[in-house]
Amino acid sequence: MQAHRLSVALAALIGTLASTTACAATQSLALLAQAPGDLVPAHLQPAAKRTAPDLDRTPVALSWALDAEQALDARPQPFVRESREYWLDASEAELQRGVALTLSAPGAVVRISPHRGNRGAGLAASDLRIGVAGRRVDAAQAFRSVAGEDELRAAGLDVPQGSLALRLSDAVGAGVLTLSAPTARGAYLVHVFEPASGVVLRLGAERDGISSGQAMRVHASIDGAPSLARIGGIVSAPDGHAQDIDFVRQADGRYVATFTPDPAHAGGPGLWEAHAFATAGGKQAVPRDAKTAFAVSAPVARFGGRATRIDAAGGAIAVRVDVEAMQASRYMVSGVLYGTGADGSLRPAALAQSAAWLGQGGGTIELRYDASNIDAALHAPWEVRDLRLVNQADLGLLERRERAFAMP
Amino acid sequence: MLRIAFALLLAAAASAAHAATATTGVAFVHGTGSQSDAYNDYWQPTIVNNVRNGLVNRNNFVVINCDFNQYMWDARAAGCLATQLTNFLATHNVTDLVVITHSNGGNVMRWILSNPTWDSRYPAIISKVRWVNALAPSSAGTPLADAVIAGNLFENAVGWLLGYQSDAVRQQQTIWMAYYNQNYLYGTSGRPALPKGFWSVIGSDVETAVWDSDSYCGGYTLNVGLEITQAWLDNCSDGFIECASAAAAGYVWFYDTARMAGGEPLSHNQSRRACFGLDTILRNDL
Repeated sequence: MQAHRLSVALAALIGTLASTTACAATQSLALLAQAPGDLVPAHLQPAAKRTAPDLDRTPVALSWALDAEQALDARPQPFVRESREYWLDASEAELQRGVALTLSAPGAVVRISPHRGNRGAGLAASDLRIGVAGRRVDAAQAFRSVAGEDELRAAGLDVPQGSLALRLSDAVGAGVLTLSAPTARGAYLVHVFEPASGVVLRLGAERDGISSGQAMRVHASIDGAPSLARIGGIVSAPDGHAQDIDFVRQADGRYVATFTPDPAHAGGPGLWEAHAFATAGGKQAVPRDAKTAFAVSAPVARFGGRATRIDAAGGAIAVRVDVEAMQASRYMVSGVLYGTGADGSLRPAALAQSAAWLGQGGGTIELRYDASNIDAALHAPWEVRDLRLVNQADLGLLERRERAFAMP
Repeated sequence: MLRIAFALLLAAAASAAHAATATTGVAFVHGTGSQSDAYNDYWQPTIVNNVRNGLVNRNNFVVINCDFNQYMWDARAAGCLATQLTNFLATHNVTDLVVITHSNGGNVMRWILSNPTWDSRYPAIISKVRWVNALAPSSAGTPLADAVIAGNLFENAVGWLLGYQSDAVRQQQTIWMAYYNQNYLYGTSGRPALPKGFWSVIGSDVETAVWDSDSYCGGYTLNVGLEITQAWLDNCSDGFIECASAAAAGYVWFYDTARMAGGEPLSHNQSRRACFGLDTILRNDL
């Protein structure tokens, strides 16, 4: 494993280097063709929400060596959520009368939490009644373990105030269980988690991020059941905005929802979430809820399409990247330099990051790869890959290019 | 062996002049929560004092106190950490910094390492970091965060109860950490490496046997809650973080049972305490 050398260039140093490289060889570069997985805003648009953080105006650049033997992912890997759980709302009357919980496996965890404004209505295990096939089951038989709010938080589960959780014994088994609490006051959220269930709802997003105004697709599938009897969903923004989404069954058995997040709620830190609420088909009709997350950036800037390569003194490779910006902000550009190895393959050499304040209209941001960070075994042709543009004002990932610039 | 080889490479890479004048310091970075007295409340004096005895100057230590209830990039989290580290480096003339983190503190430190241009103070901090010893880091999040956050969709849509959760808990959901690891944090599989070493200590089990004195190290909690929370976690977990999450970023230094006295596992609470020789290992690492 090679030791990582770190090259730091602060504002003054950048200026010095710029002046000393003024006469160095330069080469005009064009962005390579967009790859299918790239994040590229079609056009710039002002941010719907203005963030006014106290941004550091000092330009900063840094690079460090990478291990040429460690292959890097060409694009982000999709994350697929697997769910063996569901939530439901139980009113006071429903919980007093009895709520039907469908279980597909033994050993389920049931958590009951009072609604907001109902904080004094926490339940104890002794308040609960369990019925199976119309027959009441004694608590000692039904509950393998019980824990209240304090015990759950001490164990790392930050549950709402007044929560009670119980793990059902294997004797309860699968089927329809009736949960009632004659002393219930107000409404409750009931969470059922079945760790041993083979009925699994999978939910994934087609992409991990989009630009405001672009469409997003999420896909769902079910294991352990022939199909889904029903599926609906909601997409929620970090600011609390929510909009309905509809799933359509595909020929391959998956369910796909296509939607465009409301641009008025785009941008800002935090992730959007797509939530699916489903019921498995077949005899058991087990509910399943799942969610996945993605980002929606406000495209206030993008790459201008061109860059200038500057071969600096000492063998450093500098790439000055054009950035178009609709609004002034602190923008960060990062990229991985790939070099050609002895076998002719391109291998990661070094990573560079550079951030600077750009005024409205944009400018350039320079990535600098110091020679000391580049494995001597690597040589031209070079390529800049995994090129990213971030608006540091709102953590927005504005553009991402799998392959950016090729340099002979 | 890997860590020894890495250390030798670092030593070889450093100039002789630098090596001769290096001043080593250690920083303790807590996990989720807002701390004002982490020395007493989060770490407890024993581990801090035992570890700093490994320094040439045992006064070259700092126990960080920040608000890690926030997102890792927040000024009150990473910004606060940067402020305290910068001040510590300057006032103690530290040129060789070992950072010890616990739980989500590893994510906050990894934010600094991965985003050196976020704040003009970050590069100077990074340049002085020898490596990070991350105790039970939640590098890939924890299913326990997903479990408490998920129901709050209903909170947003129909006004249900807001859970006892913070931005830090929201960020540590596995689906959120998957996004941040792909886009804002380095060091996980398939991503570029961090600029400095990030070495994880992994807790693999929780022992709460009343009759076993080892269960009491770090403070025993008659933790019936663990019987519930284990349902969400893999067999290999420290009661809060799955082993896979703790091992997701950087390099694995060791699993608890491989190095702890008596082959004892470290629960999530015990991995920030002087249990089973952990403090000795950290001290000798300086």
